[in-house]
Amino acid sequence: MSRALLIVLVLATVNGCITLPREVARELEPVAHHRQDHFRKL
Amino acid sequence: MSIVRAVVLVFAAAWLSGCATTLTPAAYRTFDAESASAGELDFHGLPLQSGQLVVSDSGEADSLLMSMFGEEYTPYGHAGILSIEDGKAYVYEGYALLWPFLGGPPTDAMRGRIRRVTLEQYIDRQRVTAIFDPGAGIDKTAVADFARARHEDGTQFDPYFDWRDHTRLYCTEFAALALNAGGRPLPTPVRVRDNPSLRVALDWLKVQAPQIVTAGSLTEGAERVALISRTLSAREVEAYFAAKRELHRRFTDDQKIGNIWSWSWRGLQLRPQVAAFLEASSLWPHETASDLADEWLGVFVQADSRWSKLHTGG
Repeated sequence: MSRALLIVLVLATVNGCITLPREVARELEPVAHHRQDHFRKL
Repeated sequence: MSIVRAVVLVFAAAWLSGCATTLTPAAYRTFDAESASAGELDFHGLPLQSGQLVVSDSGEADSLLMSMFGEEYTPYGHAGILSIEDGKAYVYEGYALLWPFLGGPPTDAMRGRIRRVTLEQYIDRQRVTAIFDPGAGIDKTAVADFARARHEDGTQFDPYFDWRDHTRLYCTEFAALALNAGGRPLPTPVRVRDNPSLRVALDWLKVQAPQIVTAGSLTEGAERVALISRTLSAREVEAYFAAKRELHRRFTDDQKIGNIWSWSWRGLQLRPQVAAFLEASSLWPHETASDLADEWLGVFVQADSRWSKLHTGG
């Protein structure tokens, strides 16, 4: 079990550090203006 | 992207599944079922048969993405086929692991097959699980036979969600083909949303299919025989799904995916206000989901559809 946990932790660390392409990262930023955001209250 | 975190978590779950505790319905807030009759397996009171459809929602940020993916809303993001073998209930499902990689999209590094897990293990991963009977006239033995055959022949998981190519199968595609083997017509795939922001992410993931088979299309006309949730009552499940439907309605083509999700070292996350809305939604009647969203997320009126707001429940 300890070996399995170690593998899981290593995988989680490696894969969690993925650098997104710039164009994808840009889409994961919310819009600056609240009026254009249907998921954020003014 | 979203798949990264989900798959890592699923990987962890797979390794740890050997430690899974025995399912105890008393520990669940919802364990609703019709009573079992002759020819069925009584599974903690659930009337189960081979060839029934299992659908679920994990409650994670990734699961919400699956609900938002198509032009038509679907409450469930995952599907599998039930099989009773030697007196035990199993679920066959399309499943993949993410292997370590240094470049390219995570979908290129996903490897998986049609696999078999116990129903307990399946339920344990989900926030909400429902079991549907495909209905009269469907040969459920043939459905289950198809599922077992795809497991035995090692059919690979399709990380690109391409309905046009059945040599590799994603979860709902696998379930649709299994039901079709039992005589149910193939579902009409749902168009992937024409949202430019979502398209940027899908292009990176190499998901080019214009249509997708949703879990919602599989449950049409089927009879729900069980609803299971560890954390939500049946009424709360209904309210939670109504809130997800409201988020789907608000995700119009001018919206960025970043309005709902963010990315961090932990993977894909819900924006705090969206997570809070979903969490709070279960406390209110499902009919109030739109009004609650107006209160928590800001007033939203579709230019051409006041009608849709009045009918967002359920």
